[in-house]
Amino acid sequence: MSDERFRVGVDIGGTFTDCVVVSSTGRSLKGKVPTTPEDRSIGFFNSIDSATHGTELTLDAVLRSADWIVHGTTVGTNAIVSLTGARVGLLATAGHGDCLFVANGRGRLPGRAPEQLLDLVQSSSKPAPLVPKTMIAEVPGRIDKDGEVIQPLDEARVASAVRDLVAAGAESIAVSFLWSIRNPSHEQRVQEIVAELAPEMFVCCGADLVKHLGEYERTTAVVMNAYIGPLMVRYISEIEDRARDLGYIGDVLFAQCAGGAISAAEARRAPILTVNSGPVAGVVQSQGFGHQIGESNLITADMGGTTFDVAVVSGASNLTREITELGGYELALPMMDIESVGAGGGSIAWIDDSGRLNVGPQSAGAVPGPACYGRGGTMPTVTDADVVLGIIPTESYLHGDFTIHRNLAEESINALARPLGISLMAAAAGISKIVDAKMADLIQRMTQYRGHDPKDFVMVAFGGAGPVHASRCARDAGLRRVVVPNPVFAPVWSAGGAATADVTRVLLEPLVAQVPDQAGVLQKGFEELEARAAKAFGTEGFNFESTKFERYIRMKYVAQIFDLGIPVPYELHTPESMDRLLADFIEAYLIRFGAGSEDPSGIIQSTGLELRATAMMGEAPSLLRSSSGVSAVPDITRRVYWDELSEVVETRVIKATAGDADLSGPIVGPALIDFPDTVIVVRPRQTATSDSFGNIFIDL
Amino acid sequence: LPVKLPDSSSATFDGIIRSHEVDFSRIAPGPWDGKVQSYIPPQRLRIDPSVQFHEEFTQDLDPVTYEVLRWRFWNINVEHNLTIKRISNNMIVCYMDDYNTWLLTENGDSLLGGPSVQYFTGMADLSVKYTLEHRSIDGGVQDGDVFLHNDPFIASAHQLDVATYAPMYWDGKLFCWIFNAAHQVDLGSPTPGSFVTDAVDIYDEPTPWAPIKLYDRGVRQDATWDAFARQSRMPQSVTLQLRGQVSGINTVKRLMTQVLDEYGPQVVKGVMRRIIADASQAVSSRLLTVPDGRWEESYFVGTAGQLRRVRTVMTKVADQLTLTNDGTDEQGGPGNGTYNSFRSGMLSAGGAQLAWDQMYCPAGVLNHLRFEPVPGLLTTANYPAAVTVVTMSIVSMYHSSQLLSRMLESGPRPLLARVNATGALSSGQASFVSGLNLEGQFAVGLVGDGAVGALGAFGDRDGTDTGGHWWWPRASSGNIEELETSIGPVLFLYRKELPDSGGPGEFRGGNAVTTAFVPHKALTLDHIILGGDPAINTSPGLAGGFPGRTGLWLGSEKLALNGGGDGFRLPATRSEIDQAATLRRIKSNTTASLGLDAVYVNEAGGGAGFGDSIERDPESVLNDILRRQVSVSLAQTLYGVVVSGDVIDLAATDTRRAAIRAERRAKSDEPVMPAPADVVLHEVQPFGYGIALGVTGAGDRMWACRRCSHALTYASLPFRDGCRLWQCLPSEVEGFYVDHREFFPDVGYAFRRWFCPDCSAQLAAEFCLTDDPPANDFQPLAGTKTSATSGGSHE
Repeated sequence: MSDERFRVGVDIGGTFTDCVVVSSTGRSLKGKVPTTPEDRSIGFFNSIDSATHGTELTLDAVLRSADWIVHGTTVGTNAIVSLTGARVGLLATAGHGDCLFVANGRGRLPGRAPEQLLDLVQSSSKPAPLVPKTMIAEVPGRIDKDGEVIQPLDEARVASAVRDLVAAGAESIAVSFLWSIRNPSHEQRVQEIVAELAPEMFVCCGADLVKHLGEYERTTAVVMNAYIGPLMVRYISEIEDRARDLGYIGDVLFAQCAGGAISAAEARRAPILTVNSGPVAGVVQSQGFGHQIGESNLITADMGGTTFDVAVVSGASNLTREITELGGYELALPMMDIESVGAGGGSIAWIDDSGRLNVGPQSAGAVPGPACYGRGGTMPTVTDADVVLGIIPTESYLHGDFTIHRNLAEESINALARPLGISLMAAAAGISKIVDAKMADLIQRMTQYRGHDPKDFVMVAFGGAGPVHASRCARDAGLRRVVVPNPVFAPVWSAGGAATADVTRVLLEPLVAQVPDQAGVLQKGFEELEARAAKAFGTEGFNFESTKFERYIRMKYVAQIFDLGIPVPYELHTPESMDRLLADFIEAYLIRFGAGSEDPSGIIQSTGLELRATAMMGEAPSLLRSSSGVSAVPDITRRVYWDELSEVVETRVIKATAGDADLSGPIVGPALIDFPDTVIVVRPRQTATSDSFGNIFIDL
Repeated sequence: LPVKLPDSSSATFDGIIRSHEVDFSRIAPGPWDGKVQSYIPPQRLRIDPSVQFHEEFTQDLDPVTYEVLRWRFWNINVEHNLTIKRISNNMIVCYMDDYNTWLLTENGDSLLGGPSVQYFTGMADLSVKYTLEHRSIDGGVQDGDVFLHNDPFIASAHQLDVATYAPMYWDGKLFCWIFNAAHQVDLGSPTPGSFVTDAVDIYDEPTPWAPIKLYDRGVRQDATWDAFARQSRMPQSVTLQLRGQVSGINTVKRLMTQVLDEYGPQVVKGVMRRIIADASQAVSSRLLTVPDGRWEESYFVGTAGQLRRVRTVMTKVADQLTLTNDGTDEQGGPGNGTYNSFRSGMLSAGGAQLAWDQMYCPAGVLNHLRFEPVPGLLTTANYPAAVTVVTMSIVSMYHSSQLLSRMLESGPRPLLARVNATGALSSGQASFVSGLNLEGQFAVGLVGDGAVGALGAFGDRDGTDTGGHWWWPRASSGNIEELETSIGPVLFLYRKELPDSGGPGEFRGGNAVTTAFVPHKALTLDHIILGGDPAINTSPGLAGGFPGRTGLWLGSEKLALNGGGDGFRLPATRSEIDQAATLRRIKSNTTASLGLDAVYVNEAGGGAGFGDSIERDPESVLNDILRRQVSVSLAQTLYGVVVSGDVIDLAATDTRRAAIRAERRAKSDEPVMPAPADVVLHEVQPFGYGIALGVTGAGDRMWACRRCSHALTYASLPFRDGCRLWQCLPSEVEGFYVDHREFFPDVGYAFRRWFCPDCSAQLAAEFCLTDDPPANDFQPLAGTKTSATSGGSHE
């Protein structure tokens, strides 16, 4: 029997389910199958099976020898976006049951990009309610901002409300009371009452889920948690049961939105933590990849069909944010800070009322998709433009699942070019340039405008369309280099991130303390959080080697409003450590907000603590190994229009039809490197090289 | 473009503005120089020749460069916007977004503004033009200068909105202007926060500062900074926010320098000019789809025991709109507006309703507006009128949007979707609390209900409950937990949506919010109430839709609570408060100090409705009931929909609606000038949502009911002359509006409903003074075509 052990990562997206299997012996396998929306667990195991194709392994064999299976899932996200979650009953503080509806008066525009606000501020509506008012029960009981009980909980009213909600068909119950973050006793008592009256009911409480000051965002989080709770509990069981049937004896873990993985038990308790976990896993994978290639300042760029998702990975600040948008709601949830712009391969190019050429944010999606797919789409898209320009080959793309119809792409782009009075090629080049500019603007907003020098950053480009557009948008944003991780794995990058994820808990605690005077309060706060995290890991029964704690303090000038998360990789016992904390804060503040932005009164305080606790499971096998495969296909050429040269040029194309790419020396652009499911574009005057892991570097 | 622009279009095709916002021959003599009468720039600015402008630009732009740079400008301005928010420590800026940023051309044409409060929109260009005119002498405008001003008679809603702005130079020539304005937390005056609710004139308020330099050729003018901050109770905050504003300007300069380096000045300026040209052409083409005519909007603001009339008349000819505030009451008391506010309202509404896809480009909109301000009125007050309460600036936003909506009712469907009846809190109702906690610490802050708002109904859909405001994209009331932490020693009993507060209509107005709070762990607590009395100034409806329900400020010195035992219960609804306290109404523009056992209640007025409420789809009414947005009783009384459980009783609904029509006939008076009985109309075309124009056999044009085509009266008369009129006290409308007489006992205030004499459709519904002549809010210009023949119809 082989000693080979595996870690398995599976990422279910809207169109494809990706799998990466990394082995203790150094090999990495990937699988990609269509997502099975009717029962996603089918696609889950199909993807693992697909990864074994062409090897001696089987699905059963992999599962029998797997140490971990980590799953990034969109089940929860999809249920929220498509409003197909459970019928939730909400118990709220008397007088405050409407907080999801009032939404602080800003319920119409969460998550909308600034450029959409002026149009939408008059024309937009609120999202459909996740809980109808008839399923909200207000119960007497009031705690004030100091945590003092002003009015006792009316337990009789709670009991009758629970019975009423159950009778009205509640499938899960959310509890969210004012100031439960200061005193959770009322919420906890309600949870007990629900457990007595409806033992099978999925129930969750606001403060138990997230310690966030602000009842609207906290209530949204707990309601969404209850909304996807029953569905996720079922789903998790299906995956676990089937894995067990196939011989897997370990735990199925779930990728979480703050990075890392959580246990199945935690995912059952707090399924909301799994939303957006796929893109986040990609960022985490990039972080580890950055260490491997010796780069600590990264821009991760994931370009799919609809959006371009960007995260900044830098040692100078933490990566999580407390508030995010989902389904038109704002919710409090520690989530990795990823920003998006509506620019992807499927983004539609169109002419507005003023005769201007626009690209996005509408997308042709997977169905019907770009015109060139020949699936009935007629609207010109970014992918169509790339086909017309000659960048995307017609013979094979996206696993060869689609035949690319150049004539359809031309037809769609021509329909734009004619009214604009420009040539087919000029229109295609224009579409490509506009989408690249949008992406560059987003990167600039996240680097230069936040005080980072873009020249200090390297872009890690993944996702199907990422490598196609990376080299220009990165150049325009002022970055110095693009790295496309081994293009065999770049299209399944998030699954790779899942496969190598560690079990992680992110704990937030609001804590106002003066810096540097209250060092003890901060230190004690962290110690309590660390004890909580360690206890949680212990009760989950993982066999971990050690626990890693990363501390961040959210800090601000007393007089100012916005705070920053400052990493604190040191104890806070000594005056020297507090001096260092102050210096770190001021340095980060000036970088972020610019010279002269600090408050001269100089009083600095903490607003909260964040602890990222990781159960270290031993060194994760690396996804990328020294390349053994060498591209054996001789170079060919393709006629490509290059905007920089204003002409069509017979362009060198390196075909990497299988295995890893070894460029055997620098490639000077213009050039293309074709892979089965993506194309790496080396623009004029850029140079591409590869390393022994099959990663491709483009110097801009 | 929606229509091909004719040669006669007044749109600019190169982005140079050649027409002017005021024809000085048609308005009162000046000087309109910002001293007594507000500043209005002359058509040709009087600028010292020492200022060298960079005016050259190319029109030969490729579409891709244009699109790339258009969004680059937008992003740079957004960064300008965010920079201020990050540095400021003012909650009104940071949470409520009460500020904005702009980019302007070299001569002060306002190119684009940021996504913050829009009522600043008219401020930027006036400020720059004034500065060019009045500060350029002897080299007074230079590279490296940064100016400050907060003079409402030059261009500011009130003194608290402080502008900082700077010219940007390229190759030694003035290339563009960078401008921002932000609400300051306190600038002195007897009232903390500087909203002086009892101001008689501006001498009771913070001193306005005409443009003065914060930086002179890059050198910081410390004396100016010190003097400006010195007037405030919170000088450090004032200075910090100003630093944020200057930092924002420097950010834009840095980023624009990169753009200029990359693309060159001629291309960059070419893009700026084309943005203006595109916006102008879009506005022109949209206006040309609407028939020419004259529209009028008039409503009342209740303050200091008086009803003050605000009136604007708009005349549209081709693609030009001319606006006058003639007929508005004379200035007086707190909360006046200046010319800046008057034009800001129409510039902002024009942006939202005619240039929504053009980044609102103010200069492009302004190219189609002509103002005929009458000096000395509430909305165009002369110095030294009091302005800090800012009521007229808010009124101007809604008033302008309502007026444009009346016109756009006659437009094609894309424009009908932009028709928006007035939203909640339309006369600037807002309140602060201030007080000492048990540790003796002082706090003051906004209660936040104003930001919750509600959208009025649209021409094709319902408004939005607690949906904010159309002109305030990022407003936030804050969480209750945040408010209880920061605004003062209070505990909120409830904050909830207020069912039935939205104006009934075929499309329902959005419901507003209600809150109640008590002093908690307090040594002192005051409730400072601003704006027009909510019992008077409701949100006017459109096309026969009801105005939003009126609101109330309420309070009681004594909320009876029974200790803290198990039987103790905090009230969580209005009826529970009524069992424990005797609420009385509180006037607007007062400071209520009802003691430490007090309770305060705010019931905000709702958004207005659109169209006749008994034409509303009964299914929609049922959904309203099931969602607890409309009560069963209101459904029956004003919508005529009868439900049984969760099912519509169709027969009872038909009966009820017939009864409502019968009641309308029974309680209304005959038309004063009905059409001849036997008249038959031809070529009936819509002119507005509920009414139409037709031609008699004799060639006379007549108004008609659009629902039944019944001829109303001659088109030269107000269509109301051909309608039946039901006039009553507002409080007699099925209990929907509160009784105004407690605070306004001597005012003849009435509610009028106008019906088709034939089918009894409700064609208009409005508040007015008892003996006002019929409003004349729709009037076609002689010889104009209706929408169907001029390019569009919503049928």
